[in-house]
Amino acid sequence: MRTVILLILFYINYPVHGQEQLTFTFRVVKNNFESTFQLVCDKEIHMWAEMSKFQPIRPDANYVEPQNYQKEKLFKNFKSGEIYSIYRILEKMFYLKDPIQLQEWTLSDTVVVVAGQRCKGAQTSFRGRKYVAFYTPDIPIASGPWKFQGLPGIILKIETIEDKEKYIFECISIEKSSKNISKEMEEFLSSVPKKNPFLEWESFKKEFESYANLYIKKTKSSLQTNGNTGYVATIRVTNYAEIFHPDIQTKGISFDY
Amino acid sequence: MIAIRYYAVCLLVFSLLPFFLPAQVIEGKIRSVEGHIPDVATIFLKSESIPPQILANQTTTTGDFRISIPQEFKTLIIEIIAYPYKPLTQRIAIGNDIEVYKFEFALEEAPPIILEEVIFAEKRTAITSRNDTTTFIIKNFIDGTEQKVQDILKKLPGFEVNEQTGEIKFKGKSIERVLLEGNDLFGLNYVIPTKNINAKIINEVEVIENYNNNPLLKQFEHSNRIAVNLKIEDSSFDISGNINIGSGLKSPGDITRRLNGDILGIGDKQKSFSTIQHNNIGLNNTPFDFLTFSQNVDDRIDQDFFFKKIIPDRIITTEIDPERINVNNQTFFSTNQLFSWSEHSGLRINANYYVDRIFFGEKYSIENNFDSLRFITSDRFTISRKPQHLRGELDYRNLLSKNLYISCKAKVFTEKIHSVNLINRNNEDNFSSSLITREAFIGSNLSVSHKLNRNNIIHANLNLAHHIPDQSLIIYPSILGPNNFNDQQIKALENNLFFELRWLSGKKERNTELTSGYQRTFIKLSSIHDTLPNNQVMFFSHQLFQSFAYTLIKDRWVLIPKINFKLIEQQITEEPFDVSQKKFFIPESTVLFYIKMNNENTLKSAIGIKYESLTESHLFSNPIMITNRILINNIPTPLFQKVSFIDLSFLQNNLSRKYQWLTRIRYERFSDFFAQKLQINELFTYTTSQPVLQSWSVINSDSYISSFLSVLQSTVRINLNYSLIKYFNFVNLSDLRENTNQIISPEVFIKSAFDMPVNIENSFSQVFNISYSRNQDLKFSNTSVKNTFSVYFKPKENSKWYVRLKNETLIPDINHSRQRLNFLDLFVLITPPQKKWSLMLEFRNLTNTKEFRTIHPTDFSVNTIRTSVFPRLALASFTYYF
Repeated sequence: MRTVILLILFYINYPVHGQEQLTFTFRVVKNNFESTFQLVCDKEIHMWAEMSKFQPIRPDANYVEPQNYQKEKLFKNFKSGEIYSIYRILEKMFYLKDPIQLQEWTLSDTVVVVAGQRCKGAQTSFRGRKYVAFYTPDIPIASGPWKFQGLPGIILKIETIEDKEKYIFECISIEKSSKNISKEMEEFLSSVPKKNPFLEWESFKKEFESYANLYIKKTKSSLQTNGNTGYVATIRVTNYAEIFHPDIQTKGISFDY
Repeated sequence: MIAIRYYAVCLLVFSLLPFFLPAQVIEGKIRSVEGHIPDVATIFLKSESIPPQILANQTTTTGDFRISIPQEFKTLIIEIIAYPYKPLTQRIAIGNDIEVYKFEFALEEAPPIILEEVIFAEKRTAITSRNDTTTFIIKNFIDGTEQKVQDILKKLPGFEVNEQTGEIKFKGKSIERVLLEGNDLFGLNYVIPTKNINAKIINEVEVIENYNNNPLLKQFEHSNRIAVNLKIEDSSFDISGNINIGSGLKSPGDITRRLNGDILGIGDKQKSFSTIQHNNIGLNNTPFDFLTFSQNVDDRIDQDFFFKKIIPDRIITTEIDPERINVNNQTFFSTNQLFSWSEHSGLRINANYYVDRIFFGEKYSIENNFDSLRFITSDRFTISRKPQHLRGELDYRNLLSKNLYISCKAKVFTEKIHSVNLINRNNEDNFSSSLITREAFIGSNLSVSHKLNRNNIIHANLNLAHHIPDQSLIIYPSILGPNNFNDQQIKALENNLFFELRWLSGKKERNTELTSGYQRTFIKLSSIHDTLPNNQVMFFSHQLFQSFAYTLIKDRWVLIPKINFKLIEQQITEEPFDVSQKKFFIPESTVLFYIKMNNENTLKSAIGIKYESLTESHLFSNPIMITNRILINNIPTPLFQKVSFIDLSFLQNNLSRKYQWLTRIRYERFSDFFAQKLQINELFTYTTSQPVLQSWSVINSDSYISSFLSVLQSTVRINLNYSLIKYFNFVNLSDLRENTNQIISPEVFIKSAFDMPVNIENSFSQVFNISYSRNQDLKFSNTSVKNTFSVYFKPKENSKWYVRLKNETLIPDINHSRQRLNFLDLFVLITPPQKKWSLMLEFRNLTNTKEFRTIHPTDFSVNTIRTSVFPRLALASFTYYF
């Protein structure tokens, strides 16, 4: 009887979880750090999730993994036309909501092979940086790593150009898989505190601006509390592909204490 | 004019016309050839150019779409992509007559995608944090202008630095040692690196909780020790250091000086740090303290092997910063060398030499009140103290194989303290006294760890120690007997042999520890006095012990129960004939439990019963002269004191919110002890320590909460300390008195972070001290107040200099609030960026306050102590870094 029930459950679940998805594994470089991510494309929902952790590309004795390292995760919901993501900056969580169509692309004649697939080139500018992307029309999924998409084929490689900072997303393997990412998205959305609703890009920039000011004040006060004053400290936020605060992301914000 | 208006209106109408014309759109339905709606389909409108241009795109999950057609294009390509169907393209010609182009697309199933095998790039390794290691990248916390390592540690979250003693705590717990690039260069004397190493070369600070310098034991043992590891910016061979020169004047016109030179050498196989320093401005950057006699960490570890000096040196009150009272002339040299040939093998050599001359004056006024008697005694001391200390340490460690580790350590020191006191007793009699304390210590340790297999290790530990503290006290004129002066010589010797064998089984997370051991102690003590009877005592102790501990670590919690059995035989032989001997069987037990509730909250608790021998510290029965007023003796008896304790602490630490909350409470109950039997008159105090089979208790609690308040733009910190001691004594002819001493000390601290050139800092604290005896109605109490207010002034943003004005006000007795003391200090610091030098101007005690007063109530008296302070000082010092 137990076997029969299990078989029934298996067949009930099979059509849901047994459907084939394509999973793209990407090597992601943010300046001197790298990590691996997976892009799982399942029907109306695509998940971009960090698999390992960002580590220095060259062994670096100065590197220490941040406390409470939180792996990056992002969901694209094509039904609602939204991208949900989380930023943890200066120890604060920000919850972002972007429209699914974010980039405007210019196609080019370049042809390269990425992850065994013949790809065509395209260029875009996105939130302060210019990128060149390579997509393959042979895999007809208009998606890509992180927030990138909108090309007639899956984007298998994208990297910054004409930028002091280096961001590379490059597909290193493509697999077929079956994951229930709808459930993962539900869990992801339910983990968002109710008092922290998703912010749109402009609201996020404003909120970060005011948080950064508060953070500087807190830090300044904390430093002074410890006895030494008369110095200058600098707060800088690095390794974010999107530019949300040009000062703090480039030369940093200096303050006296 | 009308014509111009007409053309303008026409221009406006034509320019707005396109917005009012009906837009052309493409509408479509996308289905599979079987009629299914694709999950997601993306529609692209592309130009026919080469390469094509994406003019518009849209994603649909319903299979229907509607896209506006850009007007300037006559032909367009529509491309539909929808996985898992083949992409579909269609060319359309755009005319002016059709407003809505309607299409139906039928998608064909795409052939399976051929995935070529792609090998994952090999994951590159890098040093990352471990579970028990917290690493701070220094550049995130400071700007590189800090002078010493201690200045860095003060700024790191979770650290507390006691500037007076140099003691460092992390998350409320004292650290054990400071490592340099993972190497133990300094042993337990971590004040040398923290107060002297140049902060500029430090790149990273690691805090290693559960630190263990034995690489084999580390795999099995859950140690409760903390080490701080300093990482250097460039760990290849380099030499760096600094030179500091300062000079100035102190009231009434004496020259002050400060000279300091540090040099640090870092190599692959050798590390060294040496410092030489001299000052007469009250600074003490050494691990030694001959002013308040706080014991350094190194000696605290070995204190079981020290014989406690019978005559204590006069300890100066510590209620204010020691720099305020330390009229010194100090010279200190320290060299620390480490030769390492592998990660766990090396030889460490440390040598320190300290010499000082400390001057201070103290006035004691004691208002005695007991048995309906009331009288005041007073003593005025003018003291010149010359301490001299020479110390050397050798530490050899070698990981002989992956299963065998050996370590040998030897420590030697010799110390001489010569104190010359001029004393006035009761404003009548004048005395002079000379106290010379000569100490020598030699201690050695040999330990061997042998890992039997993956789950078992044995560890043997052998300690041998020899301590000689001799004291000579001469008082002129004599206070006792017919001689011109009193001469007393105390000779003491303590030998210790300690051996233990530990067997640990299991993993670090779940292990069993069985320890067996033996300790032998021999003490010989003699005192010779010209008038008082002599003492000639010998003490033997043999101890066998066996302990069992179990460690269980699961997820976020740790549980360590431990039981210990001791079989002890003690014997006191007091010449010529008195022998007392006793055997003890002692069972001890402790349970340590702590839980990390989450990343912010930790709850710790410990409960247990242990026994401490009091015999060694109460050996002599004939009186020994301590000062011109005090004589002490004991009724020697072999005695073990039972200590029952419970300890509870809670720590909440949220770094992002700059919020910390720590609460600790400890209760201890002591059964059986030596009670002091005091015989007090106007000239003398005789103290006899006699065994009493009673219990007394201590409760200590402290709470600390610190947070940044946005409304005030300031950090606010509140501390509350409370202690309650219940103890017993006899005063003159009284029966055993039960006494209580209660101290409550709250503190409120605030520091602003205004966006202005001026910022303030204020600390207000009060101490309520109440003492009383149950046998009499009198209560002795005192409330003192201290307020420290500082103003920081920076003339403009990015200014490289700042001024700090500090005012310290003390009211020793709130009932006499007009008798307040004021100290005013001014500091000017100039630190040019990108330069290798800094300049500091320092003005201390501008009000030239002469003395500091404190009031201590006891169960039968109120003691008022006046201490001389460092006079007005002006100093300019220049530091060059290389």
